[in-house]
Amino acid sequence: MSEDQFINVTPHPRILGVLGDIEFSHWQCLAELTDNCFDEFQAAGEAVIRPAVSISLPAATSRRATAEITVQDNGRGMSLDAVTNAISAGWTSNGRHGSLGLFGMGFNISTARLGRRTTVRTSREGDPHWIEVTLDLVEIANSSKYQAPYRLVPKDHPGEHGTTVTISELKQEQHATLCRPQTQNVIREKLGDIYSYLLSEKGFLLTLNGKKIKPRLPCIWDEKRTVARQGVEIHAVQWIEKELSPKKACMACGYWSPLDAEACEECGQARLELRERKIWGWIGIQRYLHRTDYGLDFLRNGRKILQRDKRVFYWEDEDGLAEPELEYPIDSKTQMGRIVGEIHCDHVAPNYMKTAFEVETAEWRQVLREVRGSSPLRPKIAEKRRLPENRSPLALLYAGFRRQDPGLNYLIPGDGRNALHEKAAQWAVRMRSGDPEYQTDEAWYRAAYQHDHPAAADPQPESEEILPGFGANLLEPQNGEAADTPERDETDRAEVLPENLAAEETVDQRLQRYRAHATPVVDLEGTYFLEDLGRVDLIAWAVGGQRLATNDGRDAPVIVSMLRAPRLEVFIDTAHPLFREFGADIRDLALVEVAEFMRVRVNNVSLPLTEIVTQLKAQTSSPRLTPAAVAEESERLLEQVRAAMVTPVSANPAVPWLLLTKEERADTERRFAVESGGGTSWNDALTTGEFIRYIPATAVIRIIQDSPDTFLDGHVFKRGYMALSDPGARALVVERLISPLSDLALLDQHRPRLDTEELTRIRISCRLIARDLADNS
Amino acid sequence: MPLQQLPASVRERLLIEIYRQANELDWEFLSNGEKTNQYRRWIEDPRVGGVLLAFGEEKDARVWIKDVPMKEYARAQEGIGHYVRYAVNRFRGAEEIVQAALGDGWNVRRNSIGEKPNHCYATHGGSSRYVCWGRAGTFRDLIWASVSEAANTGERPAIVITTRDGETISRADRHQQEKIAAHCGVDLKYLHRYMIPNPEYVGNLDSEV
Repeated sequence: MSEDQFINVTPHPRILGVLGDIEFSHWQCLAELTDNCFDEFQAAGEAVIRPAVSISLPAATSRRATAEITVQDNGRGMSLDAVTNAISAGWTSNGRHGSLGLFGMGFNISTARLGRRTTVRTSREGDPHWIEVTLDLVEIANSSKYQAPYRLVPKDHPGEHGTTVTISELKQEQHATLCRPQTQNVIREKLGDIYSYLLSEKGFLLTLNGKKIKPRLPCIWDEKRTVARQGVEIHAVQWIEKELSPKKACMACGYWSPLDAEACEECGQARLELRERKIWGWIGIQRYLHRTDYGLDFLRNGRKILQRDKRVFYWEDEDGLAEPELEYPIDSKTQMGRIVGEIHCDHVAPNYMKTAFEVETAEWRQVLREVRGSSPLRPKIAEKRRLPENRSPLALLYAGFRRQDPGLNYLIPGDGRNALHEKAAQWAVRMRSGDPEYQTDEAWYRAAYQHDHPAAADPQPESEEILPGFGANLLEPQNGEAADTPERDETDRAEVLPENLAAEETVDQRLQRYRAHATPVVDLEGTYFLEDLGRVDLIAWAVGGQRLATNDGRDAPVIVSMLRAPRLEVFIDTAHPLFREFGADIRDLALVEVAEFMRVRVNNVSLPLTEIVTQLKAQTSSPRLTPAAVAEESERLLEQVRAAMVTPVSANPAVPWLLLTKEERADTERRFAVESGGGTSWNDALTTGEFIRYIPATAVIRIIQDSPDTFLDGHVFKRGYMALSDPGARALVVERLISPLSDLALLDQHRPRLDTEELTRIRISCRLIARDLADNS
Repeated sequence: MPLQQLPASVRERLLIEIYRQANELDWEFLSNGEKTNQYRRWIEDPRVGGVLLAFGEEKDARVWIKDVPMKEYARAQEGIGHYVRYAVNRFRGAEEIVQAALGDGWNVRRNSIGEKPNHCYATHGGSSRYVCWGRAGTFRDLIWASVSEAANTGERPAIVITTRDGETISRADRHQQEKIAAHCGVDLKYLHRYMIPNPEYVGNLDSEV
C-alpha cells in the first residue's frame, strides 16, 4: 500500500475576481462595508462621541477612470496588527460569528463586485501614520501570490482617526448604475430601512454624498392604546425580553454548545467563545393596513436581516407534516395586515448574504416560539386540535387586533360608514416625512373615534335647553353689538361666550373657539387639486353649540377660512336648521363653500359652482351612490353580521342549520369550498357554527327571526329584546331590524335595477345596521 | 421690520431653541428640500413661530429665521460671529486651522478673524500670512480670496479645506484642487475636524423655552 499522496488544490488567485460575480445588489455591497463601521462603533461603546459613517458615490458627471466609492468612519481606527488580522480574516477565516471589527467574506464579495482595486486606510488617534493597504485583484491574480501591499503615510494631524475603504477602478456596469440619482435614492431608502434602529436609537450618523440618511421609523399605535377582549386590556405594543442561558459559540461552524463543552459538539473544533444570548424587542400594531408593508423585522447586531417577515403568521405543527397554515390576515378579503415588530436576536446566525437566518437551527425556532408560541393563534383551532391556548405576545395582539372593523374597538380610522384605510396610509407618509402633526397617533385615533361618533347634523333636542344657564344673552362676535334677536328660534343653539370676551375676540380667537367645540370630519380632510383652481389642504370641523359667523359678522351654516395657504379650514354648524330641519347633507354643503372659496381665489366666478363641487366630490373618499358601491357596502356589512353570528350559533349549531332549505345548504357548502382558507374541514365548520359565515343573506334573516333572543341584546345587535315583556313590542323591535336587513339581502342576492332613491334607502339601511351592530369581539 | 424689535430675552430664547433643534437635526446634512420643510415647521412650532408671530407677520418671521439665526449657524459652529454662544457643538476655532495650514509656531493674529470666506492672519515671529478655510464646495471662493490677497501683499497665502464627520472628498476632486492651488501659488492643506461641546454655550435646561 502506498503512502498518502496529495493533489494540490490551492486555487488560482483569479478566483478572487469571481467573488464579484456573486449576486449582491448595490445597497447590499454598501451595507456590508457599513456593517464593519457600525460593528466597530458598537464595540467601541462610548469611545466615539458621535459615530458617523459617510458613504460617497460617484456623481452623474464622473468619469469611470477616476470615479471611486468611499465608506469612511470616525471609529477608533486600527493598529497594523489589527488591520492585518482584519483583512486576512476575510480571506483565511470562516468564522461564523464574526469577531466585531473584522472584515468577513461579505467585505470581499462586495468590494470585488464594485471594482478591481480596494484601499483600506486606517489610523488610531495619536498614531503618526495612516496605514494604507491595497487589494488589487488584477495584480494579485497576475502575481499568483495572495499578498496585499501596505504602506505608511504620514498623518498631517495626529488627532485624526478612523477607517476609510475606497474602491476604485469601478466596473463599467457598476459605475453606470451607481452614479444614477435614482439608484442613489434607492440605496438611501434601503439603508435607512435596514439600519433604522441604529440610526434612531443609537444616534449613529450615516450620510450618502453629504446628505443624512433618515431612518425609516415604525408607524405604530402608541403603547398606551388598548382594546378590551373578554375583559382583558390588550395594549397595542407588546414588549419581548427573554434572557437565554449563555452558551459557547463555535467560531468555526457557528454551532452553540453548552457551557461545559470543551470542543464544539457539532464540528469538534475547540474555538469556542462564551456569549450572552437574549431575544428582545417589541411587536405592535401599525396605524395603517397594507398588502405587503407589515410583518416583523428581525435584527442581528442592529441590522435588519429579515424585513417585514410574515412567517410568524403561519402555523406549522411540530411534526411539520402538514402545509403551514396562514393565520393572519384571514378575516378580510383584501388580505391586508398591520402587525409589525422589531425583534433582536444577535445570537442567531444569518446566511452569508445577510438576507435570512439559518432557519433550521434550534436558535431560530426558539426566536419564533418566543414571539408567536407553538399553538395556533386561532383559539378555536387550537382547542379543536387539543393544543394548549396560545399566550404568546403575538397571540395577544392577534386576539385584540386581527379584525379590521373601523372604530375604536379595533383601532381603525373610519368616517362613520367605512374604514379610512387609504387616508391612514397617506398620513403614514406624512409621519415618515417628519410632519410634526403626524408623529403621534392622535390623527389616527381621532378618526377611529370619529367613526364611532360620526359627524352628522345634530338631532332635534327634546328640550329647548341644551346648556342651561347660557343662551339668551348672545353677542355678535365681530362688532360687539347685541344680537339677541335672531329671526329664527335659536335659543337651543347657545353660545358659551362671555360678553366682554366676545367684544374683543379676534379672528384667530373666534376660529379657535369653533375648533374647541368641534370634532374633525376626517373623511373630508385631505388635499384637493383642480387644474384651473389650484390646491387646498382641507381640514373640516363639525362644530356643535356655536353659531358660526363669517369674518364680516354674517351668520352662516358653513364658513371657510384660510389662515395659511394652502391650508383651508371649513367649519360646519351641525345644529343649523339647514341640516337639522331641512336635512341638507353637511359634507355637500361644506364642499360648496370650498368650491366657492376656490373660484373666488382665482377670481374666476364664471366656472360653474356645481361643476367644481362635482370635481371636489370625486376627490373625496365618500362612497358613490352606484349599485356596485352600495352592493359592496351591504355585502361587507352582511359579512360582519354573519361573522358576529358565529359565536352565538356555536352553542347549538344544529338549530340554524335545520332552518336552511336544501338549496341554501348547497349554496353554503359551495361558498365554503370557494372562500374558506382551507384550514377548516366542512364537518368542523358544521359543528363549530363556522358555516354561518357562508350562508345566503335570506337565511341570515330567517335565522334571526327564528330566535331573536340569540342575536339581539348585544349578542350581534345592540337592540334590547328580552327586557320587553309585551309580545307586540318584541315583534316591533325585530321588525325594525329585519326591515333594513332585508334591503341588504336584496342586493346580496340580486342586482336589481335601482334608482337613486332606492339606492339612498339601501345606503341608509346600511348605516342603520352598522349603527346597531354590537361590539362583536 | 417689527421683528427686529424682539425683546432681548425673547430673542435669546428663540436662538437657543432654533440652534438646539438644528443641532438635533444635523442641519448641515439636510437637503435643500428638508431645510425648506424645516423653516415651515419652525413657523408652526409654538416654541418658535408661536413666539415670533406675536411680534410680526408670518413672512417676516420666516425671513428672520432664515436670515438671522440660520444664516449665522455655520459661522457660529466655526466659533465666529455673535451667535457662537448658542451653538450646542462647535469646532475648536481658527488656531486649529492655522496649525493645520502652517504648522507649529504659527498663531492667529489678534482680531484678524474675518468672514466670506472664513479667514485670518497667522503670525510667526515677524512673518504674517493669510489663511482662509472652508468646505470643499467653497474652493472657488477660497482660491479667489487667496489670489486676491497674494496680488496685493505678495505673501504666499494658505487654504485649508475642511471636512467633518459624515463628509468626504474624493481623491479625484482632491487631486484637481491640488493642481489648481499649485498653479496659483497657494498652499493647500486638508483638515478633518471633530466637533466639541461648545465651551461658551449659554443654553441650559433653565433657559430652554
